[in-house]
Amino acid sequence: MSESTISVTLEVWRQPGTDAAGRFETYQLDGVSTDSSFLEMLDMLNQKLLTEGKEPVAFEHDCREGICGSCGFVINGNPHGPDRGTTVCQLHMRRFKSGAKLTLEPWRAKAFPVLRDLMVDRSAFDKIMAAGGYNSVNVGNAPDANSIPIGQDAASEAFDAAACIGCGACVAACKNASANLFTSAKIGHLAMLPQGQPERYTRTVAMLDMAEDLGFGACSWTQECEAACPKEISVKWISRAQRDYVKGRVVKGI
Amino acid sequence: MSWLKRTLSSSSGRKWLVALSGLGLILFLVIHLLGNLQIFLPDESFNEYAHHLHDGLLIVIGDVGLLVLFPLHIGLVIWLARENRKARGATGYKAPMTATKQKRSFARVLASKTTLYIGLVLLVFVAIHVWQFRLHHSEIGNLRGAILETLANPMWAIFYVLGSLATGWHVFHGFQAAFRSLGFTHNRFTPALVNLGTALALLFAIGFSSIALWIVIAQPHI
Ligand code: FES
Repeated sequence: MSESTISVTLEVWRQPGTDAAGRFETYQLDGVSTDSSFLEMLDMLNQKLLTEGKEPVAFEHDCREGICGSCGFVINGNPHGPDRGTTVCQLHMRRFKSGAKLTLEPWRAKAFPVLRDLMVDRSAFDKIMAAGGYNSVNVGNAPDANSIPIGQDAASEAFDAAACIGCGACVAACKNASANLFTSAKIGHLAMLPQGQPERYTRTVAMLDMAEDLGFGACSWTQECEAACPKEISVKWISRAQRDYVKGRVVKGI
Repeated sequence: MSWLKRTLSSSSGRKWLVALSGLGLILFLVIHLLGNLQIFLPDESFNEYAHHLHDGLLIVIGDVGLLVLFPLHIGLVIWLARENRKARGATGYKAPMTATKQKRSFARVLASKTTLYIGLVLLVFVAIHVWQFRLHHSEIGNLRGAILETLANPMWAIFYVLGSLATGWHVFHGFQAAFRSLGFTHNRFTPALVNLGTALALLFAIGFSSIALWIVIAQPHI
């Protein structure tokens, strides 16, 4: 395939710091290779801004291969852009037509304050994890593989939830800025496995309560989170976490 | 009641109670529709049904049930909705959030995002409806006649058709969402429940509005 180039108009949220006021700035960018990734296109924009003596656009990124969960912002209303099952670092400019106008905004949630431009503080997710997203029993050295037999079905279903990279797209997509998909995926993969059983209900209650305390909303079943999730994690985990939560509260008296 | 306090203290617990009360209200709607459809019967059977209902235990269970379920459902939803609204933060999105990557049908996505507001419409509808045919007609001599007379007025007929459609729309999203909130999810049964919810939504929308439409169009004799 021959390389071609396109022009795009970018409307980018610029905010110098958490407490500073933000606003949209519009940039015109020509000669963008259709083979470049979305983040490479932003690199190109930043190069241009630097040579003009302007502040580059801050955005978070690390692996650029869709596995770390660092990247992510909203493109024309869609977290991670228009494609399903992809992070913004894996989105390519061939996806857009020349002359496209793209509005880039950071994740919007009270619990995710903007640090700068398109970068938000997602440490709220760390707090949810710290509330119970682990097993507290120290098992010493790595045990023999298969010393605890786990069926293939359970293992692969647990992996579906464990595929969550914590990017925050679920929160960004939800009309309630709910962290339920993230939280329930983290609850869910441990609930599928024998190692997760002893703390199953205390974990579920603690993590969901923490998410609420941090200011994330509740679930209205609009299912936008699942559609926005780069790992396409199912909303069934929210339902399962809900079941364990109520069981924990009502039956187990937590 | 400590379990109730614990449950109410969290949004997950509140969602659970919203789901339970919602399903209770749907059960009421099924019974209500079955009763109402007797208005199509020619003679006095509707009035007899109304009399039996009012003399029996069912009306007490219904009244008490509705007095508990309705305020519970609405109150908890408003409580949740206020928190949900705050969760977005001070700055919302510029790009319209109508953008979606969902593969579900347009109607389903729309229903999931509008059910809350349709619920507020229903609140007004139900208040007028209860006043009109329950409180205002505390003496139920000829309820059928009163209904036929009211709905012969096209304005009231339209009001009731819109109310019926709103009910259907609310149930269209609410029924399946309730099971999800209760923690019920299953590869095969969840799609079946989604379909059952659609069937119930159509049943309520068509069933209730058919009464108003029949009366305003056919103008049956009282
Ligand atoms: S940069 Fe790692 S997932 Fe995008």
